[in-house]
Amino acid sequence: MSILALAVKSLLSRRTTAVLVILSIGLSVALLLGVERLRTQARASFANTISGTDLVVGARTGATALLLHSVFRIGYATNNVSWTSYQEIARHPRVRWTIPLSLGDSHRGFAVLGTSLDYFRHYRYARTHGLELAAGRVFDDVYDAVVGADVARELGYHVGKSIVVAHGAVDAGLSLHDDKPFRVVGVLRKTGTPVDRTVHVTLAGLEAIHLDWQSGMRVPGATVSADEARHHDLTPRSITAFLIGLDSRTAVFHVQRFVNEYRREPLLAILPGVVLQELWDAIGVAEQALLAVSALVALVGLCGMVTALLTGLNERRREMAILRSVGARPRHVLTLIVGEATALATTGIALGVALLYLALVVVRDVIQTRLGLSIEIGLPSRHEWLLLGAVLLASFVAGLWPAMRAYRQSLADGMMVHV
Amino acid sequence: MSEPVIEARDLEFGWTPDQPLLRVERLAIPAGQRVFVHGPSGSGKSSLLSLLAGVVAPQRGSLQILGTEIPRLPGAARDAFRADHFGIIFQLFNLVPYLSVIENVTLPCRFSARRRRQVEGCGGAEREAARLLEHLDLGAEARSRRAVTRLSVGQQQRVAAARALIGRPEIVLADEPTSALDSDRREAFLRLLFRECESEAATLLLVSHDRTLERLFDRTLPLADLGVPSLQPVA
Repeated sequence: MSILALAVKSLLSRRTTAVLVILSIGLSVALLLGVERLRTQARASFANTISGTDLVVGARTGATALLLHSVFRIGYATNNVSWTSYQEIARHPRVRWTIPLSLGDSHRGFAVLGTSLDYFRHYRYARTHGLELAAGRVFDDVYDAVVGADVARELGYHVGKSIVVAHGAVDAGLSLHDDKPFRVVGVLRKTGTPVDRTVHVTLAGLEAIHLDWQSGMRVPGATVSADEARHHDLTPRSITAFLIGLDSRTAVFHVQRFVNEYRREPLLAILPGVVLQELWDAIGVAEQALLAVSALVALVGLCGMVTALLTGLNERRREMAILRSVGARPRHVLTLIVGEATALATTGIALGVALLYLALVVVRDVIQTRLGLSIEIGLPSRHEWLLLGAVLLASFVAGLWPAMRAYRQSLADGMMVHV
Repeated sequence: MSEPVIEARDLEFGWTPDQPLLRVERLAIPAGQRVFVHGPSGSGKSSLLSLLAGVVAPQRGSLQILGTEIPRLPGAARDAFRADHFGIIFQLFNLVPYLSVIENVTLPCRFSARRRRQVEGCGGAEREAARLLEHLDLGAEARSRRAVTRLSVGQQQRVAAARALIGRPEIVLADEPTSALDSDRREAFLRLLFRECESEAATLLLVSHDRTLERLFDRTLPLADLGVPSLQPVA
């Protein structure tokens, strides 16, 4: 039996203290890992919001504002892009596809997005995932609507449901386009992106409901019925923004310059990946703080361990003297205490990992539905292993302190302690 | 007469160098002898045992154990030497509380390769421990899984004796091992200890302030009680 077996037996003899120490280390490790996992999942989910789009184009504004508005449906655009400019840029030889986006209206708190069929064809998220229908079909008629998964679930919508769009981002129930209702023809599968919380309608439909409106007000007397509207020219005069896919990534900066220097009106083209990264770096400070706090909690757990080991030393002077008398060297005493610290930490870490997985299984559905974050229950990542290694290393180093003390004590006492 | 197991010349030791506590002009202890070291408390009995076991080093003089000059050895070698050649019994609290009786007895075999080899010839450390405990009337305790802290003081001292003897070390040092026992138990314990030391061919040095035990030993080393104590040359 080695000196480490002695350490384990010694710990077992002080079970209550050992269990409490293990519990505190376990809980702090679980917290540390949990925060880390939430952090990476949030970051991944954020970065996965939009993929495959090379450029986002809108009227000249801040890059972040454009991204927030066009991709996250947060805030609103002050200016639009004219249809002719859009058409001209879309005809650029390096542009392979475009998705027009027209925002500004809402339906019961969800954003209403006017777009074309290219949206369903080219929109990508989480690297390569395309949009898929859970039920129904995509647009066919002017008044067709396709709703995101959250919209369908929260409002209980299904194919065939008739819906009314409210004018403006806030649905106050006052300015409703209730004369021209849309019909839900499709429900999208869950994506974990803002698409889930969007009501998609045709650009023509959006144009139709605004035929008899001006400056956000219904024009008195000039009512155009839903069917009459079909005979009007429903080509929009402007859109809010559009997404561009290029024939090759190498053309990104070329086309970006082309858009930014566009003469007819001031436009801005952004690389969504770059701006997403900038945005995350800005809000990442909070996330770093969270990680720092959980690291401190882990430190507190280790402090508890050191306290328990240190307070035990005095009553163990006798034990050390006995060990010295049977031939244990001071370095054995050192190994014994460091061994105890490491055994406590290892068990604590194992408990922490177990607690984390238990918690993940329990709360995964809640997080998925409440936060829209999909948590994967996979093996610990490389970074997580590094964190666990850091905790183990810290416990080893922390254990050296009481161990050095026991070492010096046993050198001074020799084996003749008179207690 | 064979080579002495312990041989000291002009040995001087003090916890502070200018205040010698113990002076030994000449001392030779032959193998197998039972030596009673007597003196009142503060006379340097424990210091003598620490010196012999190589826990502390003398300020001057020569100390040979089994022909090895102990003070010249480096610290780690002294620890190893002690583990190999000494069995030690304390006054009280001899046992590691979280180990079983057998584990306490076999403890020296964990640290000393020599003693491990010695017990291998007898069927392993645990069998040898059981045998020694049986000899010391602790057969039942050895087999039970009872915590060592639940044993009586006398039983604990006998477990300590078994631990001191396992793996046949040449020298057994006992520091007041009977002071916590009833007077009628003392002699019984010593007789058991003597018997086992004899059968293991171990030299025994026992320190005590209790003169009534003196008659049981081959020889007495008195430590004077005043001034600088000195062990006088003894035949």
